[in-house]
Amino acid sequence: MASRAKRKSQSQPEIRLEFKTKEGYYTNLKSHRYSKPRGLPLLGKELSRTRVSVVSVKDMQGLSEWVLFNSGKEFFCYPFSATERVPDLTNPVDKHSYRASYPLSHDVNQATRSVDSLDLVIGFNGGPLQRINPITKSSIALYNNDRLIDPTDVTCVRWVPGSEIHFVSSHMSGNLYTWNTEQKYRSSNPPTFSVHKKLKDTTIYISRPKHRFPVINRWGVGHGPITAFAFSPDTTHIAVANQDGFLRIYDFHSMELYGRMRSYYGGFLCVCWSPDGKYVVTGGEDDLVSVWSYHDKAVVTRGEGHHSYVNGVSFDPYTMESDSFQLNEKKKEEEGGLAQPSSSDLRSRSSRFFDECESYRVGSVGQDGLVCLWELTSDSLTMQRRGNWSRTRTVISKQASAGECGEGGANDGRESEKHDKRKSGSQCPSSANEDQLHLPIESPDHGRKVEGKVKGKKKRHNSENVEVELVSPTDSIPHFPDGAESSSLSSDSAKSKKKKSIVKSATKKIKNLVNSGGGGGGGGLDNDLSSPRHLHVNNFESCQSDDIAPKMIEVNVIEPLVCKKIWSERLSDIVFREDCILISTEDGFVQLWARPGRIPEEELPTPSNPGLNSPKSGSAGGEEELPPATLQEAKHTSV
Amino acid sequence: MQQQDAHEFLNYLLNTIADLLKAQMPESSEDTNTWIHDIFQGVLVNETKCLSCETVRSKQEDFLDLSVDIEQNSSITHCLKMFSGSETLSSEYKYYCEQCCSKQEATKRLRIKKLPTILALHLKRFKFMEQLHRHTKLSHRVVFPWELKLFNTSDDASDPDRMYDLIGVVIHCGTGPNRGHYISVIKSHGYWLLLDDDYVEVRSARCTVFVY
Repeated sequence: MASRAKRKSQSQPEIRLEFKTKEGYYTNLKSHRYSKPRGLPLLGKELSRTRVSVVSVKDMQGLSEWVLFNSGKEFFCYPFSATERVPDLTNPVDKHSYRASYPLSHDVNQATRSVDSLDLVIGFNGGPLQRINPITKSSIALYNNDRLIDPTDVTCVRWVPGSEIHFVSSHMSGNLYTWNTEQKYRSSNPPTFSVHKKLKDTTIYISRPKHRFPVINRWGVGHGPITAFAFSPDTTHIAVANQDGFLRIYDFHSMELYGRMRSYYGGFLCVCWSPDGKYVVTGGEDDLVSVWSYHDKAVVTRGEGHHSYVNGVSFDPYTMESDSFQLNEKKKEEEGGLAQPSSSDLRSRSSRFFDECESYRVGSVGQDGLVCLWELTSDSLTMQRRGNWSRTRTVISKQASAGECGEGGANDGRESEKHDKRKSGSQCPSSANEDQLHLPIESPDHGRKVEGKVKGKKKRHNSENVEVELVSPTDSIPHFPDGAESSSLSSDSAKSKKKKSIVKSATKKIKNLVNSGGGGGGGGLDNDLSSPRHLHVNNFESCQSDDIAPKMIEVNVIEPLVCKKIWSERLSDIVFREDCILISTEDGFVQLWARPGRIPEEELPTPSNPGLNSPKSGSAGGEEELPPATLQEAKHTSV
Repeated sequence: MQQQDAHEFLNYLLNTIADLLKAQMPESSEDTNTWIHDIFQGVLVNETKCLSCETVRSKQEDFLDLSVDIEQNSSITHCLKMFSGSETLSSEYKYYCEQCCSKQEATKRLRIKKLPTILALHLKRFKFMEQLHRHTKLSHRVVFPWELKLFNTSDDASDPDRMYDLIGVVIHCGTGPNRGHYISVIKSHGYWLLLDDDYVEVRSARCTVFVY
């Protein structure tokens, strides 16, 4: 009896309206919840993953922000007031109701956004994609409406960062398409593709230019539906999560596979890059949050805490360990002030600091209604060297390979060790080549989310080192130069249709460069590769390592910092903002969680009282709470 | 003819085959394991720790399938973890500790020592409700992936990271324990076959027995 009763109470954990971390209490702002205007939960088949995003535009008048999300067959855009004002759900900026289609994923072009124009692309079930300007409530264009290109659900859609005209969509079919919005769509002809490149388990096709389709290329990725993908902060890489249990990281521009991660078991469902591009975090059907290291090309940490599939995962860029944060600030200042030549030296120095004190915060939401916060400390991010799995894989750090290692930083034992590791991880014989192509990556290491900085760095590369420029994405990627140009290298973007031969010639150039092993003074990459310390450690175990998931005991396992049930239904997405966290639920709600100290006055009654669980958080703000919200509360408690 | 539970049937079937096979064996043979055991049998370790003297007593049990409790919006992984979660034996369920020679409070946990070649899992969807004095069906959503590894293995288990692939699902359709209809979805030669008249989507199905 007793044990049965106990088990029962375990099975229905209380739904929490606040939770505590070391920073303080996070509080659910019930009156700041976004949903459809009536605020009723979705039921049964209507349930779908509610993807949420926030768009900010800064102009002369100040900051304008919008929150966008799908809810069943509808799509909403509300003005986003964060914790300042209670949202007026009866008055959305834009609302779209679809008769038979479910909007599944969306993205706003960050390059073209302005106060009166957002270029929003939405992907639907069955494959269509639509571009909308929610501010003027006008539809811009429709893609794949006849489903000729792909008849399966759009699982994720993202604008190519920095590009005004290219976006990428992923589908249940396991295909990833790059779209060019400048190309007119001719629906009558089915598209034809020719094989461009065959990678391990990925085939890349290019559409025949004469057919003039808005689709530039197609990536057939793995053996299952693509569930999500994400661009690295420096835009050079794309991480693709697949139901077949692999996360694949490609160099987006050179179209090479950089690395893979096998889930412990089951498919991956979500993916997010760390703000500095050093780690990729995913969640999936093994109920785990897995962290993959860019350097090590391997899973370094698994988080165990969810009770069901992990639907959404995100880094919290605002909660970093204070040391590294300050350091980062300092670094930024220094970089601004210092002369260019020494910057790389500076970078390698500071990256060493990062190694010592880095700490990341990750949030995840699951189908169990749980939100978990994880702390990734440097301890948990260090690869375990247990068993035979990862032992001999020792190799250079990225900063070393990135053409600046000649400058002392690389002599640091640890860094060179890392580089070695990286190299043996890429098993193919052409790995030297491949590494060249990865060059631009190094910016994610340091380019901490600050766009301007990333750009600055790239520029520096150009002026510093010709070889680097040659292999930079813009040059090696003819297929969509402007999509590729993440930065100042742009200019001749209009010549969208360069040909394959250019790729070839580019690769040739690279090869020549490698062979020549030139790279004088500045310590070019070629130098590095030929130097004995980077010789390949031939380790067949590491060749298998991306096919087979390491055992549980071979990887760090962490427990969540916070693990709280916050909703009775499945949760689907989590977005971190400076003053709050947005969490969307599959029944169509977007909850706002105020960060510690950011609770608005009307929600204040119980902020400092942990035990109360704020059952009546509306007591002061009760009048402001909309009737629908109250309705929802009733449902909420009854479940 | 009486209607039977799928889980009971599986048990009956496996045990009957095993008994028949054993009957055919020469009596001199020491080994009583049949191919049924080779395929389905695993070993559980029942570890009971007396909270008073901290003595751990472990007992091994053979199993042909595992029956796990379920929770709303959970995964089969979680259900298995709960199955092996430690349970406190107290009040009327106190444990007789041989060391202390008395009934003591104790914690008990079940972990898997030998992983079976084929793992059969049974979700306990039929639960006896005290208030109603009868069994009701729990229609909780329990998700299950195509692949599975066990988290609840004991420390000395061999190959604890063995991967199981889903090969079949038996599904109970209907609202109550006393009626309903069983259908199954089986993987055969790379195709998933639904063995029933109607099409049922596997993902949304309420499953009773899994065979990994």
